[in-house]
This record gives sequence, structure tokens and C-alpha cells, in this order.
Amino acid sequence: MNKVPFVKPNNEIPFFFQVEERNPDNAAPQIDYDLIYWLEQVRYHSLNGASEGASSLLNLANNTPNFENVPQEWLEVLEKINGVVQTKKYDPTLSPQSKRVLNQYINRLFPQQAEPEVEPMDIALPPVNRRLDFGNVQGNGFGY
Amino acid sequence: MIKTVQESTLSAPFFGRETVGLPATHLGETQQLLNTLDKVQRLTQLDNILKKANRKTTIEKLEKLWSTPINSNVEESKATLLKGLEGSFRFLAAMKEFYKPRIEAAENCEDLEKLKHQAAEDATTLRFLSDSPLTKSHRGQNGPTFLVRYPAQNDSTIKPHFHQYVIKWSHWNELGTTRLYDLFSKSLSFPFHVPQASALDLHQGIHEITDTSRDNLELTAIEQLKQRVDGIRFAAAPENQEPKDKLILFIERIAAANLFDFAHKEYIHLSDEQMQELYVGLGRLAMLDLFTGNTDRLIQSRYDAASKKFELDTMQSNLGNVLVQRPQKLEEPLNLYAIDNGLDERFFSDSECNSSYNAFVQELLSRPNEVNRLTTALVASLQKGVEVQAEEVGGKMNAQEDIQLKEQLKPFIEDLAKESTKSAIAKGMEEMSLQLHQIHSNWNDESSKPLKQYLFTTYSELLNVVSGRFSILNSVRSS
Repeated sequence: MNKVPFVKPNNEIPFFFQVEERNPDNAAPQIDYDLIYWLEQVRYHSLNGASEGASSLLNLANNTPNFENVPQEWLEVLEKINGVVQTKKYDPTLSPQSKRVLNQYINRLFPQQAEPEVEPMDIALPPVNRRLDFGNVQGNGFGY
Repeated sequence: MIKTVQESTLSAPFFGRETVGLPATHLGETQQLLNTLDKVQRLTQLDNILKKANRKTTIEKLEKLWSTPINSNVEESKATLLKGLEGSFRFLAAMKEFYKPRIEAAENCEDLEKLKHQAAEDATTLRFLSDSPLTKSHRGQNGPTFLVRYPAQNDSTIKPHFHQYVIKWSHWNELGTTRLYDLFSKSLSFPFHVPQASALDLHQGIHEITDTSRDNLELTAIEQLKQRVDGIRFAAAPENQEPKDKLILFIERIAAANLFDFAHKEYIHLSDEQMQELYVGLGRLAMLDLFTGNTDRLIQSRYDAASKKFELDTMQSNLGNVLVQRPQKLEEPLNLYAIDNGLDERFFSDSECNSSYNAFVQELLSRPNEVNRLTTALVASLQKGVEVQAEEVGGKMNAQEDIQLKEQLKPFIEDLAKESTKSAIAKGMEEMSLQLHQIHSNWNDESSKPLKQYLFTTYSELLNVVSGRFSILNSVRSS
């Protein structure tokens, strides 16, 4: 967790880039939302041991959501990721555990909604017509 | 190779969405693709800049910048935004370089508002990512292949959701064979999976959305799409040269491990039933590949150009072309995905080679007890595949990690040598061998006509080769 401000208040730096303290009254919802995105990525990258996930987990461990009162469940997940990162020993329970914590947060934030879809196929394109049922084609005419 | 729509004899329903001559803004799904590619390119470029900065703080400040209210004087508002991007830090200069032309291009307050909205959305998207939205895959010899993943929306009232897919420079052989395998998988009582795909051929001016629907692109759209895909390629891998392959595939990204990664990370956690299921599944897929002539996956064959004969070989299997997905529960079945599909290119260019392969397949399917020989060959290729890849991966590790990797692979390697494994593979091969007749029967009925039409139009050589294979089944059955 890097808490060092990247710039000091300085006349050269426009106001947009000056470090600003977070208003604690407004912090909670954003923190929760940061956390569920972070957990979703932990869950995804620890699925099935794909090698691409290893470097992603390392990035996630180095870019933890930045808040002070870390809930216990989150600490458990972080501990597991650190274990994976330190030992490079894949842990198949990481994904279910982060999914469980993720669901707890989602249920808290979105009480009316069911658990998240596990693997959405979201290619920003319409799904392929897997059944090939695009109407009646008369004859094939190709000798097949 | 590819026939244009004008040349084809296809009936109108096949190309239900002709858009020739319409301006790019009316391209429907293609417009959506253009927007998506635009976003991926923007996010990747911004992510590259953020790598040189304190990511979290910079994004917060960007979000603040883009929430600056705009007044009625557009020039004044532009100047305020540009001033917000000034500073002595190098990444600020890069950020300004990125946004300056966009800000200056705004003609009115509405344009500026749109830009602000888009930029704020991009900043928030990047805040949720600790990884690059676009990463170059180092697997496979062709490509390049890029893995895309970024949050689909930024609205904190909606559950987290990600866009994820693969962009790969490939060829019609892969797309046609993928569609073919998808059809085959539906004819089977024990399905394997094939990732969904759409494609872009900027040389032919085709955006193939599904195997039943495509847009014919007009020049403006082709130019715009080319700019985006080149931009994406360059943003992710500046050193990359112009790809040899020209068909750009957009493929479903499967959350699964290839067989090598699965063997050393997941295999040990399978139940006995799931282990058996894995080998039966590999046996089935190997038999289907053997039949079609998909030579770059499990079972290996060799062509002797002098005698013009094919024979079984024990070269290493390509373990990267099978993905395995373990379910969360032990009692649920495994999912096997056939990826990077494609028949041996020699079958399209060398008819003698293709005929030899037909004879080779016919012989294997006709003779009794060939399954045992095939199983032995497959096990040897799998063992060699694991061995070769372990050397390759282990070579990049330190000594301790290398030892650990070899230890993790042991259970899989030991099981490969067991009689029960061979029996499971043989069972899978026999099952697929029997099911080939079902596939053949489906191939000849109405349900396959659309795919045949599709292949006839896009890659008739592939249709000819596959039809030739099916005619072998007739001979085998009658003999």
C-alpha cells in the first residue's frame, strides 16, 4: 500500500493535482466500491491457476484498496494473496474465498440483487448465434 | 480464398444486415465495435502514462479535473482544462499531449461536456484496475494476441462487471474451424466447449458478427477501424511489427487454465472421478482432431513427403490449445475448451498431402484395436509436451522454483503412465469414434446447411477438406 503523496502542494502544480484529504463522511461508499472491484479481480485472477493470473495477483497485492479500518474478511483474503505472491504457490481456495467476501459486500451494497454473475461473456458485441438457426435456407446447391 | 458477397450465390437471409454504402455512424454492431476499440485504445494509452505516476492519486486528481464545471465561453473552458494538465512532471506533459487535441477539437460546450464525461468515465474505469486493460499474451507462435479486461461501467449503483475478451490476429482457417468445432460439439452427447468469436477482415471489408450475420464495411469505416486496431496494437506492444495474419478475431475469454498450467496447479485438487473425466475428455478431443486433421493439439502425426504417407508420431502435444476449467464443487463435471482451432494448412494447398491424410484416417478407423496404438501415441505426446514445457518454463525460474514446478507436475506425469489413465483415454477415443457417425449424420441434415453455406462463402477449401473426411466414414461403415 503506497501512502506517499506523489506531489507536495506546490505553486507549480495546478489545483487539480494537489493532494487533497478525503472527507471521511463520504468515504465509505467509494471504499466499498473500490473493495468489491478489487475482490472481483482477485477472484477472477485466481480462477483455475492460469499463469496470466500470477502477475495480476502480484499487482493486486501491490495496489490494495486504500482505507484504514480493514474488515477481518478482507484481511484474510489479502493474507492469502500475499501467501501466493511470496511463495508463488497456487492456492485453489483463494477464488472461492474472495468470492464469498465479494458476495458479502455486494449483498450489503446491493441488497435487492442476487450474487454476481461468475463469468460474464461481455465482449460488447452481440452473442454468437450458437444454434445457427437463421431461417430456412432452400437447398444447398453445393453438392454437399 | 474469400468470396465477396457479390460473387456468392447465397440467398439473402444469410447476410441479413447489409450496410454497404451507409455512413460509418449507421454501422450498428460495427459502430459498437468501433466505440469499444476506441475505449480500449484510450484506456491503454492512459494506463501507459499512469505507469510513470502515482496511479491512485493521479486518477483522483483527473476525476476532479473532469468534474470542473464548464461555462458558456467554450474557449475559456478549454483553457481552464488545459491549464489543469500543466506541470513540470513528465507524466503530466504526456497526459496533456493525450488530451490537448481532444480538447482543442471541441467546437462547442456540448462537445466539451461529452469529452469531460468520457474522460471522467475513463479515469474511474482505470481506478478500479490494478492491471493494464490490455496485455499481450506471450503464448502461441502466431498472433499477436491481446487479452482485454476492464470494468464495464462506473456507476456505483450497479454491481461490478467486466468487459473481457481476446483480440487475436489470425486467419480464416482458425475462424472456420472454430465454427465447425462449435457445430460438432452440439452434435455430441458429451459436449466440449468452443469459445465464441467474431471477426474483422479489413482487407476484404468484412465485419463478421456471427456466422450468420456480417457487415460489409465501406471505406470510411475500414479506415476508422484500421486506425483503432493499429492504435491498440501499438499501445500494447510498440515494438510489434505489422502482423502476418490479417483476420482480427474477437474471442470469448475463458477463465480457465491451459493443460500445462492445469497439470501443475489444479490437477492435484481434482476428485478421482474428475481425473478420469479429464482423460476421457482428452481422448475424445484427440480423436476428433485426428479425424478432422487438426494437427496442432493433442495427437501428433508426421507426413513423409517421399513415401507420401502419414504416420502416428510421438512429438510433444501442444498443451496450450486445450483449456481446462475446474468447477467449484468436486461433484460437478470439468469443462474442456478447444481453442486455437485450425486444420493443417498443407491440406488446403497440397491435395496429395490431403489425400494421404484421408487414407491414413481411413486406415486407423477401419482396423480393429487401433485405439490402443492411438492411446499409446497420445500418452507419449502428452508426456513429452509436459516435459518440454516444464523445461521451457523452468528455464526462466530460479533453481528452487524449478524444483517446485517439477514436484507439482509429478502427480500428472505419474498418472499418465497408469493403466487406468490409458483406459480412460481409450474410452474417450472410442466414444468419439462412435459419435463421429452421429456428427456425420448431422452433417448431412438440414441443421448443418447454414454452416456449409458459411464455409462455402468464407473458406471453401476447408469445406472441401472436411467433406472429404466425412466421405471416409461412409467407406469405413460400408467396409
